[in-house]
Amino acid sequence: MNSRITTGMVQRSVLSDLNSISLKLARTQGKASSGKEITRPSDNPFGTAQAMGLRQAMSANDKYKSNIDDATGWMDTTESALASMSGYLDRAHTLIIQGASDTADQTSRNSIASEIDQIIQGLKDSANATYAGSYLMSGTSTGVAPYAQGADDTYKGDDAGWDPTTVGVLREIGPGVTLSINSVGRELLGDGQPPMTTSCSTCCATSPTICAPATAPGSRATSRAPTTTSTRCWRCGRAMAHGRTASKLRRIGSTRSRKRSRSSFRRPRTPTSPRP
Amino acid sequence: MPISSFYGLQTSLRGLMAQQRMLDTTSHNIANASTVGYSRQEATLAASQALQVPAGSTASGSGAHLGSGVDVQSYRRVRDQFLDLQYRGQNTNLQEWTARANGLSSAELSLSEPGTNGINQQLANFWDAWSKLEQHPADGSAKQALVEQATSLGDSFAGVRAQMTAAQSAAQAEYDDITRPASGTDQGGQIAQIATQLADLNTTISHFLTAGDAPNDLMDARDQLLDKLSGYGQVSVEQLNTGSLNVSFVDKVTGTTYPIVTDMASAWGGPPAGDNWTPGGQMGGLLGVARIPGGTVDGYLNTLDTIADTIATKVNAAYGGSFFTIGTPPAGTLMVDAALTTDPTAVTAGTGAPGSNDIALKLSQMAGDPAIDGAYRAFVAQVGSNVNEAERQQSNGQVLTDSVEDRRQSVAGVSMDEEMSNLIRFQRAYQASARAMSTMDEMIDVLINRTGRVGL
Repeated sequence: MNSRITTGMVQRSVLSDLNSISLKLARTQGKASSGKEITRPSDNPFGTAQAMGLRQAMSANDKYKSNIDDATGWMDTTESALASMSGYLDRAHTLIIQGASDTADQTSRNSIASEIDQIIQGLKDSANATYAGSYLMSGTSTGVAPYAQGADDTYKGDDAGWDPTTVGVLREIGPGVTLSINSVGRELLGDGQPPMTTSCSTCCATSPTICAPATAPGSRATSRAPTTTSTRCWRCGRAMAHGRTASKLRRIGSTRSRKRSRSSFRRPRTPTSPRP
Repeated sequence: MPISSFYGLQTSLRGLMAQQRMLDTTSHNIANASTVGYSRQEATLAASQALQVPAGSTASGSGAHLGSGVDVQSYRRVRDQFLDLQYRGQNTNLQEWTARANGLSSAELSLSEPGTNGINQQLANFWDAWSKLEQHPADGSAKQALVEQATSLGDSFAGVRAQMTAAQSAAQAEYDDITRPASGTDQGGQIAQIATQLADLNTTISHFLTAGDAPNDLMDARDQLLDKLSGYGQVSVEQLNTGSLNVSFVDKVTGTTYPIVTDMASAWGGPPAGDNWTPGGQMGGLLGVARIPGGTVDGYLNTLDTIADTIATKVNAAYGGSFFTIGTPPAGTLMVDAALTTDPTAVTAGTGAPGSNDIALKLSQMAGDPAIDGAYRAFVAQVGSNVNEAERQQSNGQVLTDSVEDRRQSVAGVSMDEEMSNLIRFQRAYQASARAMSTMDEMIDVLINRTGRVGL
């Protein structure tokens, strides 16, 4: 359509073509050297938003992975603690059967009693398992050991995670998926037996002998200092919140499977069964 | 009536002189082939007034007009004013988008997205710090790291906001510089300076035109100034009888005119108060970026403020206390509560015992929140689209301006081929005129020196 082609036109159009080619070349080289398809949002606005979303998703997945690793470590440690507790219980069970046999005399029963004392310390030791500095079985009071070594058997942690009204130690393992990973020592081992020196008036009235301080060597009573916290009868368990009974102990082996289902959460139960 | 024997000499002389002028004009064109704004010139020739031969001099007995050669009528520049108008319209559009693209590019760069230094990554790190606290709710170092990360998130917001504000003020400063009127010894901004030059040119051009001259090169200079002016804003030009011009900016929306030059005097008094106009061109582009309120960057700042405000509100609500404090403007003042920066261990990870982590979990679950991360992503996409649009419009405008400029150059540009062929044409015509003159000379030589010598 241009009838006249002038020197300026030719020069200008060549220059403008060269410019646009140079621009393309610079963009392509920039992509090659930076290794990035998008260096500025305006290169591809929609792609930028997508890339940012993907970055976020990657970071979230990293987070879930780290949480899952952490929770797995926590669970593994809990599991091995429970396994060793189960071993202690098996041994205690055997010892109790031995002691119940008529063939056992006082000496062997004394030695059984002292081994059971050791087993109790061992159980508490297992319950005091830690993972990365946190106690696994103190509820959310992860800085506090659930049980102290020695005569005091009371549970020191809290009930978070067992008691459905308080949340336990949580891990987010997927979008909107959280898991409570802690155990509550009280659910497993209770608060220990109150000292035998503390009995209620009813029990004292019906069988006065039990109210006398037990002095038999090797018996539980001698090794236990009277505690000020225990105001309940050791014999009948009246007004007693937790007691360690044989039936309770035997359940420990199946505790973890119970914990999996939330519907089986139970409030701490008052033992009603009579003591053996 | 007899005709002078020397008559033909005069005719040849006219031819020689006319061809010489043609050659001069051709040389001028060739010399200015690369001069910006130059329009090619040509000398227009016309046969000079013929010698009237009275009746009876021809065979038929009637009178006659005997040709007397050629005269240069005028030297004119070859230029199409309508193409000038089209060019200026396109140039106004091109410069508006160029200014907009440049202004928005710097706002876009301040985001440093997508990458590892942008707010997006800082947000991800922030949520991640909560997740770490979720894993170690009683760990002082996790709390310390969280407070550091939250502070750095606030700093990122403040940094982006400050850079965007800087882009805004840079555009405003450029606009102010262009539009500054002359006062006292200050010559003013670019527009005021062009106005002064235009007024001077108007004076000189109308002086020459009144005298009947055509100051072609001055008119080229004036057209070039008008081209330049059209880059700053939409220009309207009114031609006066004297050859002088009235030039003014025209508001693209209201059509109100703002005079730049009135006849021989500069009339530029600066933009209207409060920059309340839509001038188009570079001024329009800069104003569109910088205007407060209503400018593009102003909109960006508001969005950024909203996102920062949402972060503070939502995080504090989930935290169940004061984690972030916020002031005005929100994006510039998003800070971790002073009580927590002085003692990071005061951060609470859960509602229960020190080992509980339900609060940290709730915050860690906020990662990717549509009102925070989502809103920010949408914001980045919006900035990207705006820059993308501006750059597309700019290259569109460039193509349109180029095509009008091509047509203008097709008319007014110097074609070397044409000038070279003209050179040969005029040279030959000059030679032929010279030959005619020597033929005439020989004839007169015969007449004077060889005639009537019988018997000598």
